[in-house]
Amino acid sequence: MDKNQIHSDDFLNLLMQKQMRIYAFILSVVRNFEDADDILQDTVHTMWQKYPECQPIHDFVSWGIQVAYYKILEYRKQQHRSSHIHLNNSLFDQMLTAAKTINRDCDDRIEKLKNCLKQLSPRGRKFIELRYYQDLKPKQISVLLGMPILNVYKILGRVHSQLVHCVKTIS
Amino acid sequence: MDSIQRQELDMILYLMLEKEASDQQIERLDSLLENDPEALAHAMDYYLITAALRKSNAIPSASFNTQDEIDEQFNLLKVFAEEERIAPTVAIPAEEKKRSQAAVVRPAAPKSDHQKTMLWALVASMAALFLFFASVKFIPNREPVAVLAEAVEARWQNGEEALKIQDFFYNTDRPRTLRSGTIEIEFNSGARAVVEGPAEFVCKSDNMISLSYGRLYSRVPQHATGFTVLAKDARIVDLGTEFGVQANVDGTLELHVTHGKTSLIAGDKSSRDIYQIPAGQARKVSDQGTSVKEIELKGSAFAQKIDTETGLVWKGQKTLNLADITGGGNGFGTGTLEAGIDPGTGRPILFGPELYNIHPVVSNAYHRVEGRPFVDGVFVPNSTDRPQIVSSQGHIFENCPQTNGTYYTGIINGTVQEFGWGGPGLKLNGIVYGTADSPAIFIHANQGITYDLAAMRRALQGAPIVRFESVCGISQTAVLHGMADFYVLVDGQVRFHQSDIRKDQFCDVRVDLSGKDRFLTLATVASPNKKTPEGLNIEHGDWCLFGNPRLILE
Repeated sequence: MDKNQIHSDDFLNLLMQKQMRIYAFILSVVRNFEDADDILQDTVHTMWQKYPECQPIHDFVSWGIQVAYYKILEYRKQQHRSSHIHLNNSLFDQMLTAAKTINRDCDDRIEKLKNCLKQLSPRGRKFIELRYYQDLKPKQISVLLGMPILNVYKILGRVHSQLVHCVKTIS
Repeated sequence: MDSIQRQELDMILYLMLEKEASDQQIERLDSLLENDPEALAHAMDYYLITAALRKSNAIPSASFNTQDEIDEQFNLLKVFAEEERIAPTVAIPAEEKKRSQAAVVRPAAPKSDHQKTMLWALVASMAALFLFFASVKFIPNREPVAVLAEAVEARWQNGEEALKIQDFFYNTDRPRTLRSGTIEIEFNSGARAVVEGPAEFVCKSDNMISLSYGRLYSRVPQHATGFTVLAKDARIVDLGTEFGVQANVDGTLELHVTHGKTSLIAGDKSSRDIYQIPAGQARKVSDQGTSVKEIELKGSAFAQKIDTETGLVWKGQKTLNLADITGGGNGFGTGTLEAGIDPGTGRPILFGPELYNIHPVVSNAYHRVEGRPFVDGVFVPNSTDRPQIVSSQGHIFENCPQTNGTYYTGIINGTVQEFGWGGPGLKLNGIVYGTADSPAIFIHANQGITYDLAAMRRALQGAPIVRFESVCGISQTAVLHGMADFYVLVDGQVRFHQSDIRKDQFCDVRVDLSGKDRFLTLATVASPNKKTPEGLNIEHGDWCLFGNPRLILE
């Protein structure tokens, strides 16, 4: 196995384990899936290119967040992009600061999330399954279930809220 | 922040995620976050949970039954990533970028501008992974994941309930032991696996089987890509392919890839290596998965398709032997030599001395044949009184000759070797026919037989039959005055006709077939130009045969 192959395997393994944390950082700053997905892709692309020359990397997540941070700044400079990402400077700095602590107790909270998912009502689980597991957009879910899209947003919003509350309170 | 404010905040946070928040809602959110540290902290929790829903295994962990199954789903991630790494670059239109999901990527050596394209191709493969996940539902305790589609002489372990066709396999079943025989399992995903006994296995999910030992051949349609065979020290993941697996009780395993390609993952959880095995190659895994060696491909060693009704077990052979089918077999050598069919009745016969001196005179009625699923019917060709029907669907042999309605012996798979006038058995061009190695249909004039191509295709699950090939002639062992006409018809239409063939003469037959062709008919009649010694029937001496009569499978 050559050096590139070893690096590739290492990178893949680390990314599989850690990408969620980098994504959480990006999502908390840009606040929507579409931009967060784009930025994560650019981030991963850059990480992949830089990985061999940045060895040794002691903290993959911190390095990824650092790369993502510059990608987010690049995004902010693109004035034509959606206003959703246009926070005022003060709030942007606040969000960045808060986002850097987002991965605190991450493993523990994911474990709690698994339990909370099991506690959801069948209907709530179904909506989460459709949105994240089957990757259907709210519009597609509304067509699939034959309900107004506004109701889909309401239900998904409520289920998210239940999950966040459950993770915070479950022992 | 009271509960009402929190609910309002959560709703705006969610609408923001979907880019559906109004300007007023965005302003409200910004205001809350900027001025209320508790709201900001809550938002951070909200985003972490949402990111986990989108990018972690939290949902499958909460849904699947075992850690093994979760591990397998994520093994697939590696496999698809590896597949994309070595796959040719695929350009994806720019507009698709917007729709793609961010996902794990497999790095390759950075060289050119194609890297990003490859990245996007990889992202597309991740979408396939999501689809794979989507195919696996939230699993309650017990779910049917596959059905028994076919079975040929299946014998199950003593004490186990014998399964019937269309019985379910459940994800929570204990391992089943097939003592002997062959079965075909159809998984809910569409993947099919033929298992040969002795074997022990469990259908673990709608796209996964665990094989303790035994032989298995899988065929996986594109939408079921990712079908996985688990063995003791290895697992095989389909990448759109057909492959055979032999798992031995000592833990060694052989993988033979006949079409497409597969990923072989060898080793235990602590150390796994992934190998891409393309079509035409085989590997042996031993030493607890640490040794993977190339071996000779033996694709034809595996039963690939089976058919309950006909007992057909197809191991990749490229021809169907019509003489064998005439003798009651399935075309792959299960028929009986010297067995045949009486064209005057449609009943089975066994050739012997009692038939030597019988020359029945019968009508030209078309007789269906029972007990030979690939034979539609038989007849004695003669258009003197009425049109000659040559199939159960009423196809007419338009220019069928007029004959005396007499035949001799029946239509036989070979013949007894003592039989013969100028020497034993059947012979053309110096080759002895009518044996297992050189099969022949002995079809003395005037007789006809029709084979059901559609039934064969059904049994072969759609394998294309592209051609009929044979050599035809009058045996060198016949009497001198033999002279006959040979016909091959498809759905009543003459596709081959050779008249006035005499003793010792022969010619090659080659008739192309399409998927629309339903019936193949072979017929011989005494030549109208023939002169026989006084006192003998006109068909006397017409020891016609089709040597090595075979249907070519694509």
